[in-house]
Amino acid sequence: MSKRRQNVPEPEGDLPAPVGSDLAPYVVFTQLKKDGPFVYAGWLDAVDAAMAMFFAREHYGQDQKCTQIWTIPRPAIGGTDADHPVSTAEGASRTYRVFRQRGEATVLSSAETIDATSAAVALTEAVKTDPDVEVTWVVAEADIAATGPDDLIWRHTDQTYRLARGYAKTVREKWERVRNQPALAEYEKEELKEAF
Amino acid sequence: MPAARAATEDTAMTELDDATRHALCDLLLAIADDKLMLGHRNSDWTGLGPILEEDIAFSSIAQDEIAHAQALYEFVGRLAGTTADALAFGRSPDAYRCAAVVERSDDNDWAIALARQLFCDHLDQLRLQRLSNSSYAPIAALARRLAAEEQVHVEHADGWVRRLGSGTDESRQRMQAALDTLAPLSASLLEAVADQATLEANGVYPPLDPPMTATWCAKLTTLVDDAGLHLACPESAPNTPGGRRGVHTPEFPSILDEMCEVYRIEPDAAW
Repeated sequence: MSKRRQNVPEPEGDLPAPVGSDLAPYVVFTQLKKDGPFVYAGWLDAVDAAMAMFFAREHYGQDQKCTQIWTIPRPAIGGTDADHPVSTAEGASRTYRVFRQRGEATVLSSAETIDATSAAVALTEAVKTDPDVEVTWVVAEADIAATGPDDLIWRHTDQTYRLARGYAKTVREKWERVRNQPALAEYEKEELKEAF
Repeated sequence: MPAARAATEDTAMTELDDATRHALCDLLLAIADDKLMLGHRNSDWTGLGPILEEDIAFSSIAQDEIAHAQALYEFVGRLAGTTADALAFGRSPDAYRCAAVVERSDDNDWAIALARQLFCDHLDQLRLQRLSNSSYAPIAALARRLAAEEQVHVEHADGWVRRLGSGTDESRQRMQAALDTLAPLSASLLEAVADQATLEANGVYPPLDPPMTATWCAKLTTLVDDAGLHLACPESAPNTPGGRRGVHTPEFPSILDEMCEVYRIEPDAAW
């Protein structure tokens, strides 16, 4: 940590109240294996779809290795849960992607597609097909942004230092080396004498 | 852009003579030192980014810069018979080859940090492109891996400059001020390392056509114009010796002292 961080200027007085924002919420799904389902990874704020995808790649794409990422503007989601009201607006037939969460301990994952004239019709159909689930979402495929084949997600260079398990092994090895030092053993002996 | 003397499998070098090896080490240290300093500077923004998502992205890119530096130090270490840690943290200030622009503090100004990243990422992309076409096959292979990641950095910097340039009056004014402040100093990136001509002549660091500086300026100017901003892009390196020859800014030794603090306490420590 740089010493410069100890001198970050503090704002004077009260912080101004937020006056609105152009940030909008996006939900992120990652595909952990090629041809596998897309699983819910989390959500983020961004000013547009391109920025949302970049942030998703740098955040959720670095959590664990994945082959592809989807980002979805939150208002495009219609679901059986109260947080995602479904649109009843009718229009031309569109293809909707279904997502299901089977139980509280499972993750929301992508499933089949349904062609329907509204999100509400698609959701009704999806629930009828598989009613025994915790949550069902439908999203028009046109509202899902996906990483392209040339979009780098996982890095080519050594990234093990980013992972907690990367530290754990090397730290444990270092700790074992330290513990094996005779000087430390002597020190521990003295400590034991003092303690008991 | 095809290199003037791009390597093919038939012409790829597998051995280097002493002069070429020395010059290549110098060049790779210049790139690695730029990246290490940039990563160090940018990691100062962890927890302080303008929004949470950008905080994470900028921290991720800072880690990338250090990972790139590490890969290059390991490569030089194999050529020079030393270790990546010794190269990163064990040299005297005049043995570092980084440019003045990465040594400069951003003074907690996000626009300055972003402009610094913009100038560096675009040049890194071109340097790695040249090395990807190297007649020395091992460095060409490494450069191709790094270049793919560098593209992510360029996308990040370009995306922000476009958005800030086309955002509010304040974002436009602050981004423009940062570009104006850093543009003259970014010329420090263009200084050649000693014996660079040798590497260009034997295809280890093949030139671009159009030349790298012109390509760098053209790409930056197009981007900045597109963002509704303007840039007086430097067209050549300063006339006086700078970081590539070990001549650094007055603040460089103190940054180095801080960065090398742990290494100097226990040089063999490995975490």
